[in-house]
Amino acid sequence: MKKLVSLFLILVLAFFLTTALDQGLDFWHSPSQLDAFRMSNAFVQNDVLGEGGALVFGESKNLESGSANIVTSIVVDYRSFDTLGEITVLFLSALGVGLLMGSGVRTTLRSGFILKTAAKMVAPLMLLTGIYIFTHGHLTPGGGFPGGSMMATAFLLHYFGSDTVKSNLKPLKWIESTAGALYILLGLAGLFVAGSFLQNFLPTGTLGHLVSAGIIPLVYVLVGLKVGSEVSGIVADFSKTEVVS
Amino acid sequence: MMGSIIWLIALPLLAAFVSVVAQTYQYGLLVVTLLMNLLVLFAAPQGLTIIGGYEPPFGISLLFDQYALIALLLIQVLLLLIIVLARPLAKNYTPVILVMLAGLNGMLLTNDLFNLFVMIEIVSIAAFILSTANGKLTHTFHYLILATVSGVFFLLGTVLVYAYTGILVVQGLMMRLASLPVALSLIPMMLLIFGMAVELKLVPVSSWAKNIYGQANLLTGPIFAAVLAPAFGFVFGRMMNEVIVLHSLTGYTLLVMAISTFVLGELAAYRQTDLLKTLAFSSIGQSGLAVMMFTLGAPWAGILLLINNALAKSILYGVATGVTAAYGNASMGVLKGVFYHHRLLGVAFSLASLSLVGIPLFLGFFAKVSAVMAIFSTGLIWVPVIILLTAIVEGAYVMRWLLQLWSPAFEGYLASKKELPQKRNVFSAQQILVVGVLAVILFTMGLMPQRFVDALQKTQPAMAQYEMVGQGEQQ
Repeated sequence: MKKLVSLFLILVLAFFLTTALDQGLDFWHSPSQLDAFRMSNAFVQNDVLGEGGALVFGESKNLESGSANIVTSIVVDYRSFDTLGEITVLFLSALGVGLLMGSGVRTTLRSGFILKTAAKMVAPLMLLTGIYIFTHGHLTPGGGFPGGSMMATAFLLHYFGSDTVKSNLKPLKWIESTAGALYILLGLAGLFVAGSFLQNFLPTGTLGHLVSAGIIPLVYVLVGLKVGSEVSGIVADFSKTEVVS
Repeated sequence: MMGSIIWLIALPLLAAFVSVVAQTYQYGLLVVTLLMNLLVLFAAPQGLTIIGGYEPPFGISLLFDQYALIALLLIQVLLLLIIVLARPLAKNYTPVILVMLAGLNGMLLTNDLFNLFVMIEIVSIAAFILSTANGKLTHTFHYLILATVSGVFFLLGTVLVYAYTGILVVQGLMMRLASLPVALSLIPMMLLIFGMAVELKLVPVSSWAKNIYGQANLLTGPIFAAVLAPAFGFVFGRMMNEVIVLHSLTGYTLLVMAISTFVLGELAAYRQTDLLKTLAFSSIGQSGLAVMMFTLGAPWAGILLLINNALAKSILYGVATGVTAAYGNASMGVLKGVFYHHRLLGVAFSLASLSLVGIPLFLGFFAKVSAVMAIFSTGLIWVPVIILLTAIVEGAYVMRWLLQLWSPAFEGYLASKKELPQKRNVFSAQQILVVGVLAVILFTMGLMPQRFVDALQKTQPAMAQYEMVGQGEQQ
């Protein structure tokens, strides 16, 4: 009976949500056909400040955000404060895992020859790909979060492929702490140089070039390093057997 | 630059990131951060602070007005006193407390609905981690599941609000939402309300609170009851003032939830024989009362109730968890006559509980009179009747506890003959001083509530739309 009532409630909620979403969201039109007054249009056109101009890849210069990836423009420039919040969420989650599991006993895995050899070859490549993804976050799909996660996966593979993982995780903590602190300091630099927290104070260059989009690549490098070290720390903490009364 | 309100969020976050590698100085960092935050609060000019260089509605902004100032001041002062009171416990959780502080300040300052969700998420996760200090992981898990599901509701509500209005700016969002057809705005409003219901401890999703509050220790008890609860109350007040459009369905749902939380919470508190459980249910009940005030359009009464409840609960939880830890149990049988040994703590506890009930001469009296007066003016006569009847229940259990805790009857007789029970060490002199400071703040506010309210109102452009309740009678 309890399950039937739950199922009924879920179905009612699902019905209301689908009707509400169907009325509210326009899935069937391209952004340019949407209501001109929606603020997302200004994000797409890279034209919040109203300085305007056409967007041409490899040609447009000194745009307000300057990132060829619209999502990156929104996540790391227009709404960078939310991203700071999100990396804080991850930081807290890692802290929580560390507090709960950190005191446990590390388990050792026994891995086979194939895994060991493959891990040695593949892990560095994964690490490199992760770094590539977060350094190119303003040009291609990707960015700090996926790039960092890929670095952590390399760490996981390395852990699976080696009998002994160094128990000294100090360097990871240092990277995590420094990257987080530098993100805040970058934001504060914006406050002192340009007038508001997390505001871009570097030239945005040419659309599509590696060195462009102001502080966005710097922020994404920091986010990538922070996410990578944090998720690696979580992996290391989860490798411990929990000791809970 | 140095006086920008953004420091209230940037500073605790920076300290949190640094504290992970500077473990020796963690606690000092926390204290210094809180003191600096107090300085910033007094130095920062009120108004809208833009982040990232984009003005609203495009970028995120922070709204620092009188309402935010009251809430932020309360949170920083109480948190500072609590971490001094529970220093050994706080030392284990310093980075978490620092991030929670950044989240709380962000939650109270932000002028963007999605950013509010992010901040609520930060504070909730910090609260989950802190609640593990109680040592009951199943309780934490229960709280985590409830709060996460409600977080999803809040996020869906935000998505729908954005889909319908095209903006996320909190200030003035209500105007846009009110212009929508009721059929459209109903669902997002319901989702936003249910998204906050868990943290506001509203029936039927308040079950987590009796476990987390009822098993609290010297750190978690005061933090949950005196920092997190008022913070979420203040956020709800802001939402009611700027975002949530009440239709007859949403309005009555919220009112029924708030009234049943108040009545059931206080009745359940009456039935408890465990001091911490009594305080837990009392916190649930008081949260219902504050929500009721904001729902019925009496924000000033809501603010006063939140402040009174926060100050009173910080003392009540501080003393209650202290004596529970020292005597091993929070049941009435064990704690009977405990204040015979600890008179200073007893006086502070009594002051706080009398203010909680709303005895004349205390801040609680002023808060409750404001509440009842405000509701009379709305024409809902039966609501004040419920409040007054429930206040009698509240008075009854508080008096019963005070009598039991002070009663020197049999224990006093035994103690005077130096037989039983042994006096145990509850607090150090420093901790007693902190409880004393809290009691003095509460008592002083109760002695001159009008002066206190005037001081709060003095520089208040953004509070202009708030009507001061009971103004005619008091001045």
